[in-house]
Amino acid sequence: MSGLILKNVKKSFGKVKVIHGIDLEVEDGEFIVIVGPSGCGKSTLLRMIAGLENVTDGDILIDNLKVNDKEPMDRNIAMVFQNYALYPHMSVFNNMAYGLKIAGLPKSEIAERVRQGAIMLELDGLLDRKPRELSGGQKQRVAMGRAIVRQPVIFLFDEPLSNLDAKLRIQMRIEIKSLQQRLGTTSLFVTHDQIEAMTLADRMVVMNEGVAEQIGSPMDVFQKPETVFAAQFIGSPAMNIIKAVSERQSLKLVNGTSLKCLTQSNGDVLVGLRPEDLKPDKKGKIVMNVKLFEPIGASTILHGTLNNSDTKIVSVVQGLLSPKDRLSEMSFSISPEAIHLFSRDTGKRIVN
Amino acid sequence: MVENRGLNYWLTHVGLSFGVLVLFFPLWLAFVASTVTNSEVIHPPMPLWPGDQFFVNYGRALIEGDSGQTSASVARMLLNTVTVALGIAVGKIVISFTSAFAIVYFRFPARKFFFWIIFLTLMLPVEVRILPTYEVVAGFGMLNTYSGLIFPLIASATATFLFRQFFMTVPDEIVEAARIDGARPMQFFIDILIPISRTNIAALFLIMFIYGWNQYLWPLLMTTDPSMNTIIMGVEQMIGGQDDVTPWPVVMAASMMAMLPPIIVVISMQNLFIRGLTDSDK
Repeated sequence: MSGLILKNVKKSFGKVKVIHGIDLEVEDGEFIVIVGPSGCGKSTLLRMIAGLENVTDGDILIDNLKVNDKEPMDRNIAMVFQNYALYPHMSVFNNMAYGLKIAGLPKSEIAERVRQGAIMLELDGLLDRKPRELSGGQKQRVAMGRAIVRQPVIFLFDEPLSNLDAKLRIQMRIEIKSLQQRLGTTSLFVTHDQIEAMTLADRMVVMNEGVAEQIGSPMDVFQKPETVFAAQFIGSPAMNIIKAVSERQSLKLVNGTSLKCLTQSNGDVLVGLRPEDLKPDKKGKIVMNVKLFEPIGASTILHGTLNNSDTKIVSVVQGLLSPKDRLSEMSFSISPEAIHLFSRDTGKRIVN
Repeated sequence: MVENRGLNYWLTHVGLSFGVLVLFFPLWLAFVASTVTNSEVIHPPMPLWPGDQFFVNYGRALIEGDSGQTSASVARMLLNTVTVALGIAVGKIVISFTSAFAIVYFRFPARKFFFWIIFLTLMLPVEVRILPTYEVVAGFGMLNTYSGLIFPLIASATATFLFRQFFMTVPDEIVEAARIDGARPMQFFIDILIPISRTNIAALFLIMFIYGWNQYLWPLLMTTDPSMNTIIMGVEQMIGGQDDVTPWPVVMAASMMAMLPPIIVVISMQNLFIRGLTDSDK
């Protein structure tokens, strides 16, 4: 049984098409992260599932029921918003209870559900406070509590962590993940942050300009990106993309360097090299003119260009480089299996 | 700049005190005039300190008015005015709140058009449309009634516009969260919109109450029965014509009592009022 099915879902605002047809089957209890840059349609997709936007074309099924024309409240979903969207005049208790009151639940059950939710989210001491008396993290917890007490089939998260500071964001990320695992509720989580996507997702949907570029587990997407976009969006620093011409298993990069790879192809391609796959090697073939060293503690990020070309490349070197190791020209090697090949015409991964 | 030492400190206080005195002096004279006998008022010099006729004059004003010549007793007129001012304030808020709700939260045909029609009425205050309004009210047989005094004054473009502006600052997510919680439009209206607008409502209530209290032209035109007079026009009517002797102390007592309710309302609501104009409780 699947919790949620999207069948060729499309959305346009007037003549502008924002979502070009998305298919997705979400397993019961799965944590799906929809990730993409701003304006890619990820929030719109979530809002369509919530019922806050109409579906232009295609079907949305929740619990095997078509819900296209149902009101949000009849869809058995709960949503957590980026700016919390708490009712400012209601106490924490009433914020969490409001949906249940409207649903007409008996008072004792409302109290019980809110109490349980509050304990789960460590809000039990705050039930009488107003939202303005809470910190950002507490507000976000109340927003989640409001979702939990409804006991929905699906949780929808619309960038819930974006308004929190960096430290709290990591903490809340872990809490959301463990909460979801404990409750086992199907969840959809929209974010523009690829690290959130990597850490939270069972499967992720990489979206770009209204198209799902790739749907797969974080490791799948990271190790076998299906498009140049997915390759560059997931992973930090982003994957280096270099123009090249291939002939069977040998590649000639834009600056004339030759590389061996495992994938067979002929013609114009794009070569993808993860910065962390570039290993410093005095005899390495890939030569980089280093412009900038960025020490980030455990490793150092090197920014520069491929020699004899103006193609920018980045590499990550373990440890801090001592000044005498900071050369203006450094060589790297890469193992053939770490090389990703993409078609230059379609941007799709080349496999064989 | 905050300067609280030396000469400036004293100069600001002298300046402010002088301003207060200038503003307060006429009020003081009115009060003095309401506590002395008529002959003391009429014959110069005008007394500057209260006399001993306080209870006589106020009692006479409250109960008799100007002895039943052209106006009712002040008590009656106060009752009329409170009714009318409350009716206008409450009516304006109810009507403008609901119309702003409709305009901001519903997509219906010609929404913009209706908004601009409402906005256009800003250019048509009562004074401009007073004859047709009189005609309509007379046609409904509402002359000399409370409803006739209230209804023509309760449509308010200003208040509608203010509420509209406030509603547009309410985050969309709150509306959406309420939809997901299953709130119907009227539940959203009652459970969420009214509570978060309460300071705005209070501020508008205050302004509209004073507005209603100070109405002069409309009550003057449409009440012919002295028992329906409002206090503002009643005070004027107490001042006699050429042959009458105007009982100035009684008129002044009536004036003082006409001022009192708005002052009480303003003072008791000023906290809410300032909050309503400066911050919104979001």
